[in-house]
Amino acid sequence: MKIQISLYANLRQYAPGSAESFELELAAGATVKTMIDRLKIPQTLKMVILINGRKADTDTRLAEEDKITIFPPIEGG
Amino acid sequence: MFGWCGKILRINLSAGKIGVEELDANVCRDYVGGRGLGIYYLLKEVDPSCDPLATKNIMIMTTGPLTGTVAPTGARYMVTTKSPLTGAITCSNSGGYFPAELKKTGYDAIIFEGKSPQPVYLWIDGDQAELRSAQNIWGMTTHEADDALRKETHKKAKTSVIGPAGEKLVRFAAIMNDRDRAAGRSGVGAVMGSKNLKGFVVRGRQEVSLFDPEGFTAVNNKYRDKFKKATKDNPPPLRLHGTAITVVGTQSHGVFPTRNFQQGTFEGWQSIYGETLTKKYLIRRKPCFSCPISCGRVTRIPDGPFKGEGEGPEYETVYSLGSDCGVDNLAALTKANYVCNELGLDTISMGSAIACAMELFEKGYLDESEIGMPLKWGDGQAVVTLARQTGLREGFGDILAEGSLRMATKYGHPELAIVAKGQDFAGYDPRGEQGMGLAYATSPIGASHMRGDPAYFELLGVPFNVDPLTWKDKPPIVAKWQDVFAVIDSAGLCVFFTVRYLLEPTLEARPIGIMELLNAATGVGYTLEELEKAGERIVNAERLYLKRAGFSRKDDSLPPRITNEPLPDGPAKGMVCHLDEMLEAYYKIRGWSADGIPTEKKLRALGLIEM
Repeated sequence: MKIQISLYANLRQYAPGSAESFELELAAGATVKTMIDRLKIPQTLKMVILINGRKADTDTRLAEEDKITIFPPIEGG
Repeated sequence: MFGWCGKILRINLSAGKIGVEELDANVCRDYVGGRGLGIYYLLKEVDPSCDPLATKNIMIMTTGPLTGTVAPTGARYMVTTKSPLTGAITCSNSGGYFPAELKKTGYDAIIFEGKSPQPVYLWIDGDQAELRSAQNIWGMTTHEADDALRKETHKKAKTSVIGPAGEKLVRFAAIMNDRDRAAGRSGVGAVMGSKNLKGFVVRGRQEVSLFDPEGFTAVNNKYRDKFKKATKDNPPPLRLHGTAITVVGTQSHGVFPTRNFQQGTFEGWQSIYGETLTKKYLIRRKPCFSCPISCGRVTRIPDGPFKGEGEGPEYETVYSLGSDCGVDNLAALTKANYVCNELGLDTISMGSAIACAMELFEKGYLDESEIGMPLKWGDGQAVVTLARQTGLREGFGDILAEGSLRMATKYGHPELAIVAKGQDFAGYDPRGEQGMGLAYATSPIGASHMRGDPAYFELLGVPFNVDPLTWKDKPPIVAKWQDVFAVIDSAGLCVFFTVRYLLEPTLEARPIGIMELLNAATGVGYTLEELEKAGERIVNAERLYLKRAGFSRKDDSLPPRITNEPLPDGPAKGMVCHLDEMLEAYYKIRGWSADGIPTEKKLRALGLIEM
């Protein structure tokens, strides 16, 4: 299945290219953890992970055409 | 005394007299400093029924015991007064270098009473204070005044001034220090203008004395090391891209206010967010005193109709002068930000008032002939023009200068002003962020994200994310965070470092790091419980003042758009803010009556009964 991922701020370094958004092909039934491992993002990093704008955990299952947003905790606004 | 200086300066502007008073050690301990000291004096000295722009109102500028120390982000001061925008309290906070310099003059607070017969400024060199004529600088922009005042006094002095907007009593005029840092909200600049006070110039001559200098260094190093370790390979987003990176958090959750809160997502967000700002216009970062983060942005628009150089925009400005007006032109909203800084305007209320006018125009309630131009969503040039007109009270700007609620009421549609207690919302739509709705409604200064900021735990992952769409779980968390923010604002710290590194990383947010720093600095020996109680005391003291000024539950409200009209788009589509259900529980947790008034029992427990 294909999902669309956007990485921001210091997490951009884990994107395959320089664009903030890219597509990723994963096997059916893949979870957020599978995706993070594929991108080689260290598990120890603190992240906010949203699937279609809703909070997700590492064991949340992904679905075709999901839009994933990942950014580091932001200390202020 | 350690940490505190133990002295306040009292200026009677009507008589031109300057006096020095001792600060009571028990008051310091109970109210900490900054925001706490501000409400202590406001409650004691300002008639809650007074006209905020009349001589009877006073203006209180306070630092905290950690201001001017090397504690991480010990850079803040607070301006407390009665607000001409809301009629409620205002306590506007700012960083930069002026606050630390003020503390190093040896005064914890300056209280201004009365009204000067002629324009004046206050010059404090060491502990010597004098009022000087400001006839020659009256009318100057904030930048011009900063240059002129430092030329007249000392080139290394720090200034805090009003621009033309404060002089002309724009109801959301700011006080600008270090040229571009703002004590921005609720019209503190108009109060200063009403007193014929153009500015303050300070030159500190003494370091803050600490109770246990070695212990203080150890605590300071412990938390700075924690920060260094966490950010070694992962620089903080605020350093990389400034606060405007927050757009990622609000847009992705569908709470990025767009076109006067008619939508929760903005199609042009990528044109105006922090990473675009970094790529296109950032010249350099600009940290405040003793800050390891460095979120401030010095920017330049190199050419074109919006050519200019200055500081900003911050996230709140990207929302207010950007998405809320439908503007996706980063150069235009940055230029409007420069104009606000130079004329001395709060960018949040400025953008919100323009957005409200755009909706009044869209719906046919406001005519082009009155504005002097068509006012369509996305017109960046109009935003720049109207900001300038407002700061000078020229043309339609004279109506905008009264703020969005008075303007919308004038045109028969107060419901289109997106305000709480008359103050414009910050850049978070409470329909998709329920805790923020409760925080806006119960904030003592009207809508503000800086009174317990639920965006941290609802959107931004600090200490971790909780579901922003639930409401039953929010009242106890919001109450707790409001109390701890009162401690942060009173200690003299900035929330940006503090929330992540000086608070326990739970929703209880216990202020362990602040306690350790305060105890080493002051020797007071706060327990965690005492410090948390001080935060609760400050929040209740503010509430007590509001009660005396005639505020109650009816004023803890949000506009009908937020409580009745479902969000039409984005991840929070279909949601309204469930304020009434949260308020019931919130008042109970607070120990307040069903009408939102602190009970006698609560006041007694907090030592406020004699106030």
